[in-house]
Amino acid sequence: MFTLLKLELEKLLRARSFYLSFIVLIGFVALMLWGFYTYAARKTGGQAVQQFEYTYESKQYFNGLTFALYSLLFSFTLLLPIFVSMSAGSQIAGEARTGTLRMICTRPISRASLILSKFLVTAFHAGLLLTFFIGLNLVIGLIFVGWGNLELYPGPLNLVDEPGKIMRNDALMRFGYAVLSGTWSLLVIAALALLCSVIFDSPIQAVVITIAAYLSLYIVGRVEFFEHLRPYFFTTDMDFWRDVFKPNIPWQSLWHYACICGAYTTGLLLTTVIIFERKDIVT
Amino acid sequence: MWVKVVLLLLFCLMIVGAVHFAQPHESEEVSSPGKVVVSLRLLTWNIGYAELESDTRAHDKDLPAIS
Repeated sequence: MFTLLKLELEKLLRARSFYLSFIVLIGFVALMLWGFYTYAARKTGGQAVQQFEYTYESKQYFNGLTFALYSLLFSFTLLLPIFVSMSAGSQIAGEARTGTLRMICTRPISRASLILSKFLVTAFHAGLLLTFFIGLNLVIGLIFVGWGNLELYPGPLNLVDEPGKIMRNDALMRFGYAVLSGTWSLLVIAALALLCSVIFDSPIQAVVITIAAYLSLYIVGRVEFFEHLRPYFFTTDMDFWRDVFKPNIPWQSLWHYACICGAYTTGLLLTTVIIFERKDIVT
Repeated sequence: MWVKVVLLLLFCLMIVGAVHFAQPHESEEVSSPGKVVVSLRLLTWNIGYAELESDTRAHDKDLPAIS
């Protein structure tokens, strides 16, 4: 199993898409920073471009932690799932496309171990992406915006119902929690993409179908008319990761949704293993 | 085989965990759902009229105080 993991890790590190995902995330953070600069310039008529805080009524409101939180919440919904599904979707279908899947399956390893090792490597990639992204946002926020406490207000983030505050050190710890809860949440997408990767022989098909399923449920879940359908979508349960940024973390609810996401992940993985073991590999 | 067993165990563990940490429903929070509980809603305009009557609307003479 360890040899398998080592081999899969080597494959991941040699893939260009692995580095591309980090480059795109750097580009996203640069865009966010540019967006906030132009917003500050517009709001103050170009007077206070260097100091975002003058754009807001509360001078303590906007700081590096707020910047990191905005950047993370905006990207988590749409950007990170794409990279995770790309990584997971190409695991089996990518081998099938390049013609190496049959050769791999002739080795004296079980197909279940192969799936598990590929999933673990994808999970590692997801965790690394999130750690890198949060770390980069915090560093950029510290350099360009400055430190402070994390102040939360009811608004576009839809995070709290009433104003709240998280002290700086506690807020930094919350970002650490977000790495764990966010990675756990993204594993549902990874498991779904891996299942699609086993079912379809083309990695593009696997990735597109995963993203299409995710976006469809996400969009339908946001429409007010279909509010009664929301509890049945995995996208609703995946949102639990944001709870770590609430002033008082609702631990019971967080564990509840974390377990539901875990059930989705393990259930999808089990299905993937069963299908892959019975699959006739002809490519 | 062991991979499937581990995954199945984890799946069951997650289901049990989700049920364990589920928030109790509102109907379960009430100790006796069939029993009608009569309670007094203390509102701005019924202070001084602490009666368990169904009509808790403001009296005409209270209007200056609440307007």
